[in-house]
Amino acid sequence: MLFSRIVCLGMLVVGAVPSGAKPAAPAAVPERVEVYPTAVKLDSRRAYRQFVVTGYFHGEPRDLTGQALFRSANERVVKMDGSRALAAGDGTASLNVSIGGRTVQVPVTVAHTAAADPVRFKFETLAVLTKQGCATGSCHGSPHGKGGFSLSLFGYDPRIDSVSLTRDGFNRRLNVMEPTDSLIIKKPLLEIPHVGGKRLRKTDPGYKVLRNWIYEGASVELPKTDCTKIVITPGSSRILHAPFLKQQLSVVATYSDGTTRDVSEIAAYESSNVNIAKVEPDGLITGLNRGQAAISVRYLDKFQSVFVTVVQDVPGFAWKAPAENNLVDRLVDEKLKQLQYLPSGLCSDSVFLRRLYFDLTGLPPTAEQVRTFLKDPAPTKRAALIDSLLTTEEFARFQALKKADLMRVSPRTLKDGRADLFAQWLIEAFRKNMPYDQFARTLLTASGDTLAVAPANYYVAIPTMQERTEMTAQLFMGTRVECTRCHNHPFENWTMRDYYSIGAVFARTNVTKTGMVQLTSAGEVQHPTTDETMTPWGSETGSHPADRRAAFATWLTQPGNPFFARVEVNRMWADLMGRGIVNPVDDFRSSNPPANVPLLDALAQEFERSGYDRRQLLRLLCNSRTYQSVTQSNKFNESDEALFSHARVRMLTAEQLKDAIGLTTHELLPPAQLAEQEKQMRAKITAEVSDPVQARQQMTRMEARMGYATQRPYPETSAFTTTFGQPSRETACTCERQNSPTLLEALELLNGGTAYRMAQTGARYYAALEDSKLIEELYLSALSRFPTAKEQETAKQYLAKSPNRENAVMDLVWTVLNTQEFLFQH
Amino acid sequence: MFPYPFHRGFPLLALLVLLAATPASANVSFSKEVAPILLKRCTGCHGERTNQGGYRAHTFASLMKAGASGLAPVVAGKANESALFQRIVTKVEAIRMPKSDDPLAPAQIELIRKWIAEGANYDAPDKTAPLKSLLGPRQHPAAPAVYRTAVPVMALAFAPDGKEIAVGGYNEVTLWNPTTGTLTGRWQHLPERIQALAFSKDGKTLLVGGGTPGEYGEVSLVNTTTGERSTVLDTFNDIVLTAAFSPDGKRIAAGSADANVRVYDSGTGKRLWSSSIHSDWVTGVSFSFDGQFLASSSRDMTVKVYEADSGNLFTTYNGHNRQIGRYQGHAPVYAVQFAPDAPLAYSAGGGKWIQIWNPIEVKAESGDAGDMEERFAKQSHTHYIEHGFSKEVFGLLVRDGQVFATSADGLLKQFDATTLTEVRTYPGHTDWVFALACDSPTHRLASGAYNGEVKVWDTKTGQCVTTFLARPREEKRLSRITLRH
Repeated sequence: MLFSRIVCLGMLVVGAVPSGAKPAAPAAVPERVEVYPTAVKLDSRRAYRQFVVTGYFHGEPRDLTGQALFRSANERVVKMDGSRALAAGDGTASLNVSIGGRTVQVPVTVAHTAAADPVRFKFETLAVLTKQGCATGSCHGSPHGKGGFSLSLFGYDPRIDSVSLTRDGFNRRLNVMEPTDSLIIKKPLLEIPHVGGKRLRKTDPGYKVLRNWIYEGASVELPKTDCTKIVITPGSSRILHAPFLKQQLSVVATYSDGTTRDVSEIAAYESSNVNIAKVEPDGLITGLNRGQAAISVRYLDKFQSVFVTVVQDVPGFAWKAPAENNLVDRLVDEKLKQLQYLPSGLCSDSVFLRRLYFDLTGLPPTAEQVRTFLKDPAPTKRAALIDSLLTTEEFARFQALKKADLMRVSPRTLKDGRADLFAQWLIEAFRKNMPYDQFARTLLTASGDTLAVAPANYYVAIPTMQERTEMTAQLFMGTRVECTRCHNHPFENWTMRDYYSIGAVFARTNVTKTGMVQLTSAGEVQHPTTDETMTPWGSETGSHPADRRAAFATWLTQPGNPFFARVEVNRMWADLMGRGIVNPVDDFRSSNPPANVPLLDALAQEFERSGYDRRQLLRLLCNSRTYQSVTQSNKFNESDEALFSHARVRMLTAEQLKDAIGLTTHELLPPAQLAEQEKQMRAKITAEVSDPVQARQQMTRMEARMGYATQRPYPETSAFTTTFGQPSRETACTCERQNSPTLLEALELLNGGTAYRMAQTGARYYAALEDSKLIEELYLSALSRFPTAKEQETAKQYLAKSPNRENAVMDLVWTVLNTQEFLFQH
Repeated sequence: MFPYPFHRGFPLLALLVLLAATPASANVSFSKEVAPILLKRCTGCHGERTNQGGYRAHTFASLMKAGASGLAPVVAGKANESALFQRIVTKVEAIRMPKSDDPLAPAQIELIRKWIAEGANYDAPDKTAPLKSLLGPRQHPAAPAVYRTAVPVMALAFAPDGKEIAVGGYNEVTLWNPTTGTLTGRWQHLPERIQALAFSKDGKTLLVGGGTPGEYGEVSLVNTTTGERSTVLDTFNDIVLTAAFSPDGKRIAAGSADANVRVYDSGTGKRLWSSSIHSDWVTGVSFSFDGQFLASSSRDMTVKVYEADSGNLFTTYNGHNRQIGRYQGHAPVYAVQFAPDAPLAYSAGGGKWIQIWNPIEVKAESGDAGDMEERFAKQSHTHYIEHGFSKEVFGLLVRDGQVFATSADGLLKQFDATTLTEVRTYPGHTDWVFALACDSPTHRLASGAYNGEVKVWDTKTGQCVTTFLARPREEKRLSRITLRH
C-alpha cells in the first residue's frame, strides 16, 4: 500500500513521425512525446483536467507542459486555461497538443454541464482548508485550535469541521447571505486582521470553492463515499537536469463510488527541501539547487510523494573515483556521478583499524593489536580483520547493547533478573548470528514464563497495546506511528486504521501479574472514532488463527516486505556510516526519501538473499571503499552531507568513550583477561548461590563491577554516561541517544571526576615506562597510531622539565584524552 | 461558468462612491471617508498586530510615520510625492498595494488623492486613537427583499402584548404572528446579524444587539412605532452577543465577542460603566430581580457578577471550570439568567448541568487566597439540574418556577425550578436551537434554530402551536408596519 508506485496509466506514445510544422533546432526535438491524459472526460460544469506533456531526449524524460501549445477544436465544448482543460458545454471535441514539431490529438467528451454541481464539503471545502494552511498543526488544526477556531488536523474528521465552520461560535464564521462577508473568507484575505496572515487570494481556486460552497448554503452533508486513492502524474520520481528545471504535476482522485476527479487545483503540495526544489500551489515544481527532495501531495487523507533529483553541471567536474570494492561502492558512485560529486579516497590503516574496532566491538584496539595490524604486510589484512572481529564476543555484546537500547531492556521495567535474561538472549542471538527474520519472529511470537522464556520479555517491557503498536512499528517497520493514535499522520499516508490494525495483532497477548505472557482466545481492538473492530495487520498473509502475532510475523519477515529488510540494513548502514540512507533511521515515509534508492533496495535484497545474515551484511559494508574512505572532503564533495562521498566524523558514544578512556588509562583490564575473570566469577556465583533470582542479581552486580560499558546490554548509568548522551531506554527511538557535542561534555572531560580519576590511574601505569616507550604506548592505546616525531619531541621535553614525573605523565594522559582525535571516530 | 448573482455589494463602498461623487468643494473627511478605506484594505497587513514593511496604518499617527523604506507615506498637499499614494496607483504589480489583491477602486484612489492635496488634515481629537474608533455607528442597508436562503435564528422576543414575535433576521428584525406564523412586519436598516432582542415593558422600544462578526458590534434601540433605529447606544470591536433590560427597565446591559460588558442608562442612552475582565466572548448578561447585580457569562468558563450601580466586580462564579469533585469539568458558559423573583442565578453552556447559585454565597465561599485549601474541601451551595442534553446549552429562561433550556442537540426542555427535575421535552427541531423567548400571560414559548425554523409552544399543554421558517419569501414592503397597541 505505502510503497506502491504510481503507474502512469494511459501514457500516449507518439511515433517519431513529425507533423507538418517546420523542423525546430535539433536539440529541441524530442525522440518521442507523451501526453497525459490520452483522453479527457469532463462530467460537470466545474470539471477540469491538468495535462502533463513529457518529451524524451536521449531516453531521458523532460517536462514540456509549459512549452506545449494546446488548441481546442471546439471552444464551446472545451476550453484551455494554460495546460488545464475546462468544460464549456456538452459534446465531444478534440484538443491538439503541439510540441517540437509534433502534434498529439486528445479526444474530449464533456457532459452534464447544464446540471448543478454544488461544492462538496467533504471532498472540496476540507481539501481547500488544508491547502490554504488553515487546518495545519500550527494553526487551527492544533488540538485546541487558534483564536477560538478549531479544525481537525488536515480535515481528518469532517464531523468536527462541519460543526466548527457552521454552527459553532454562534454562526460566526459564515454568512450564507453574502458569502464574501464570511469570516473564513475575510480573515485569510486579510480584509480584517488575521494572526495567521494572508492565506488566501481571490485568484486562488480555493477562494472560488469556499465562496461557492457558502453561497450554495454551506451544506455539511457527509456522504458515505470516500476517496480511495490519488494518482500523481508523473509517477514516483523525476530527474530535473538544468536548465530544464520545471515539472508539472497532475493529481487525480478516485472515490469509492467509482468516480474520478482531477484535484490538481485543490491538492496541497509541499517540498521536503525548499532549497532544492519548490512547488507552486498549482503543482508546478521548480528545481533550484543540486540535490534531492520529496514533493509531497496531500488530498484529504491521501498522501504521496514524488522524488525529485535536481542535477546541475558543476564547472570543472570530471568523474574519477578510487576503485570500487564491491556493490556498495558501485551504487554509491552511480548516485555521486549523477549529482556530480567526487568520492574521497581510502583511509590509512590506523584510521581504518580504530574505526572498525569501535564500530564492531565498541572498543578501541589495544596498543599491541595496533602494532600487529600495522606491521602486517598482507593486502587482504583489512578483510581478514573484519572477518575476525565479526566473530568476537565483544562484537556480540556491543551489537546486543544497541538492540537493548531500543527494546527498553532495563532492570527498572524488567524486574527480578528479567532484564539480564533478556539481555543474555540478545547477546546469544548475535553470538550465534541468528538470522534476523528468526530473531524478529522469535521475539514477536514469544509466550510463557518471562523468567524462563527470555524473548517474551519484549512484551513485559511494553505492556500496553499502544506501546506494542508503536514500538513494533518503529523497530521493524522503521515508522513512527504515534501520531496516528489520535489522527491520521500529518506527513504520511499512515492512518488511524493502520495504527489500530497493528494494535489488533497484540489484542490477545496478555502479561499476567506473575509475569506469564499468555495468549487469550478473545480480545479485540476498536477504532476509537468509528468503533469498528479492527482486522489484525498481516492476517491475510498466513493462517495462524491461534496466534495473530504469528500471522503478523509471517507478513513482516516475508522476502519482499517493504519495511523489514530495508529498515534493518538501514540501521546497520547508519551504525557504520554515521547517517542512514533513510535518515533518521526510524522515520521511513514517502516524504522522507532514501538518499540513494537503488543502494537501499540492493542492500535489502542482499540481506534477504543471505537469509537475513546480519554478519554477512556488515561484512559487505565494512569491506566497501565507502566505509573505508577518509573523512576529509575534496573540492567536489565538500557540500555533500547525505550521499556518502566521504566518511563522517562521529563522536564516540557515551559507552565507547568511557571504555576508551578506561582502556587507555589501564583502568580496565583488556577484554581477553576480562572474559577469563568473568568466567571464574560466574562459576563461583553459580556454585555458591542456589536461588536463581539471587544468582542473576549477583551476576548483574558482578558485571557492573567489570566496568566495560559497551560490553553490557544495560550499562549502569552515571553522571558521565548520561552527560555523553546515554539513552534512558524509555522509547524505541534511536533519537533517544544524544550524539551531538555539548558544553557539558567538554566540562565533564576537562574537570569531571571520572576523567580525572582515570587519568590518575593512567599516570601510575605510564609513569613506570621509559619516556619514548611511554609516549608510544599512550598514542597507540588512545589514538591507534604511532606518535609523530614532533609529538614525541614535545612530550619528551615536557616530561623532562617537569619536577614531578607522575604529575607530568598525568598531564600528558589527560591532554591526549582531551584531543578531538581521541573523542571522535574519524 | 460560475453563476454568482451578488445582488448587494458592500454597502460601505457604495456609500463611498456616492460621497466621492459629491461636489469637489466639500473637503474630504479623514475620519468619515479615508479611515474606512484604510481599515478595509490596509490595516490587515499594516495594523496593530502586524506591520508588514515596518509600517502600520491603524492610527493617524502611525499612518503618517515612515515604514522600513524611510519614505514619507504622506506629504501634505503633494499626493504624487506621498509614498502611500504612489504605492496604490503604481502600474508595477509587484509593489502595488494592496499586495496580491485587487487595487483600490478609482473613486477611493481619488478620495485619498484629494485628502492629501487638501493638506492631509486630521479631523478628530486624538491622533493616536485607533481608526476603528473614529468610524462611529454604521449605517445599515435595507434587508434583502427576499431571502435566498434561511438565516439562523439567534434571537427572539415576544411583544409585551403577546401578539407578535420579533425574530432576528438579516439587517432587520422580522415580526410574526405567534399563532399563525405569518409575517406581519419588517424593521430594517439594522445590524447584519441580530444576536439579542428585548422589548421594553411598555413595548415602545426594542433593544437590539448584533453586528458583523470579527469587526463590528452594535447595541441600539428601535422605535416600535416607526420601526426605525432611534438610538445607537454603543459600538464594539466585535459582534454583540447578548443584551438585556434591568427589571425596572432603567438600565440596559450588553456583552460582546470583544469580551466587553457595558451598561447604559436606558433613558439618556449614556454609558454608565464598562468592564473588560472577561478573557473571551461574553455570551450572556442578566440583571438580578432587585437590580442589585449584573451577571455576565463567557466562553472563558466563568460567570462574573458586578454591582449593577458601579460596575465593580462582586464575585466570579467558577462552577463551570472545576478541577475536582462530582461536578468537575471545563466548559464555556453560553447563558446566564437571574430568576425573576429570587436572588438566584442560573447558568449553563458546555457540561451536563444547569447550575443554580446565589452570588452572595459564591462570594462567601470564594474567600481569599489564605483559605485556598478549605475552599477546595468545602461543599459549594450550588444546585444542579442534570439536563440530559448531549450537547451544549444555548438558550436559558427562568419563568414562573420553571426553567427552559435549549441545546445544540435540537431539543428544548422544561425543568421544575424547585424539584430540579425535568418536566417536559419539546421535540421537533432538527437543528441547533439557539434562541428562546416566552410570554407568560399567554403561556407561549418560542424557540429558534440554526436552520431558520421558529416553533411556538404552549407551555401548559406542551403542544406546538405553530412552526414557521423566519424567511421573508415574497416581495413585501412591510418595513413600516407597526405594532398595534
